[in-house]
Amino acid sequence: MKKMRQFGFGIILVLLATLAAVAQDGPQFKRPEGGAPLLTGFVGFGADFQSGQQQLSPAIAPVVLLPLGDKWLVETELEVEGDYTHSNQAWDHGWNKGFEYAQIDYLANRYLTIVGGRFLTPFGIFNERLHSGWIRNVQTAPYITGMEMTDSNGGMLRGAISVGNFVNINYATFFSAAVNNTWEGSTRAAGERVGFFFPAARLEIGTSFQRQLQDEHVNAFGADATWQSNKLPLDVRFEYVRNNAVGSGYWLEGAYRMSKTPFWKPFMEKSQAEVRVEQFFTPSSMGMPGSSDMGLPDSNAKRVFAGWSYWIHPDVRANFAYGREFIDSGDHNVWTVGLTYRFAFPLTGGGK
Amino acid sequence: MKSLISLTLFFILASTLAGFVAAQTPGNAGSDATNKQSVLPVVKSEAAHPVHLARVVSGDDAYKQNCTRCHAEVSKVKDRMTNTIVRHMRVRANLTQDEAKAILEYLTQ
Repeated sequence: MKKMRQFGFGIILVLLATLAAVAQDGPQFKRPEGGAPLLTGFVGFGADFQSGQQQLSPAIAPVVLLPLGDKWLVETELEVEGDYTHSNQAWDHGWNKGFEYAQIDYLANRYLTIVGGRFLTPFGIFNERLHSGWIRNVQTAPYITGMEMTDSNGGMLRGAISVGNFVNINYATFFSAAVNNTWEGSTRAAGERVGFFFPAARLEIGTSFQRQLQDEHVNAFGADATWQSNKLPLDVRFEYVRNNAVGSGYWLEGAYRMSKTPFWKPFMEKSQAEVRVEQFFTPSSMGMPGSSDMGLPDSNAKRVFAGWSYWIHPDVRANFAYGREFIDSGDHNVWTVGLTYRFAFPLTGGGK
Repeated sequence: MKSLISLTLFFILASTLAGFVAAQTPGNAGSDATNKQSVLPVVKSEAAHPVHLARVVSGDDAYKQNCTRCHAEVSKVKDRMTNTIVRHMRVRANLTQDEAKAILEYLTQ
């Protein structure tokens, strides 16, 4: 009987403690019930004019996001990009299409996400975070993206760890198999990226490493940094890559949101000025044959861009940039214009 | 001699970085709401919904410190769509679990 009473008291104490704990939580954030499957992505049009050559690049990149339960996400992006080029001859055209990524993510715990399938290679910052036409500031991709592996087929472990309020350490490590396929080709390689993000300073510094494991075993090393001012609407981004076989280079970009400009308010509030400086250096020894096929210059090159973006709507962005390229084959001007529309629709009921 | 120069350079770089981080770390860091224009409501979620997490981060700060680094403009979408997009971005941008939760709360409150 005494034991029964003690057991009853125990139950009541546990219940009271549970109720007290729930009451202490105060007003609770009501999490939206589950995620909705989405069709998102962008439609864009870019044009590039330089001496003796004009290029038009229409593009569409639909992204499907399919959440499964609380821990899984299936995500795919198909990119279809046209390339209409006119030089001294008639217009030449072709369409490039392929899966940018088709991956399944498992959020194993607060520090680890396991990714399988085809994914954007985690090297530097441009490829994973900025490559989408509706995100990048200048439509023309930096030189050095030509020497980075853009896509991988295999597995990846990634995540982020907070060290107090001072720094978040984020990481991604991957292995990719060789796949010879037009739609989803990749190289056998392994690599990693580690980033240190200081939230209060809005500064992230990262390093990347990658080793190609087929043909010539070539190492690539990268460093990157992003910084946002706490006082001004200013972004600064930087990325450096060194690859012993194909060369090295960097790009440095600044973007200033014109929201604080005291004149032409309605226009300036939706505008951003951008500047990019970049350089490419050919390797000192004999380089890898075919590096020009990777979109890299044949000699040392330098390019400077000054651009302007205007958001017609939060999802519709128009941009324009003037650049000058300094290269052995002849310095010349580069003009680019672009228009992108980012869309997002629920595939089934999106709820509220 | 070469290693001494390397060590000196490393020391200078480390000191510069440490000084820079210290200078950029005010107590109200991230509260400057004018950094990037957004069509989203600017609400101090820390006050409205306490987030009981290991790393104390308000939705407002988490949004500005992470999302606006790549997205100058973000339009508001339905809550369940936001839930999916935040999960996608947690993987893509390597957000911590706490940041992802705080951003989801901020965007859907």
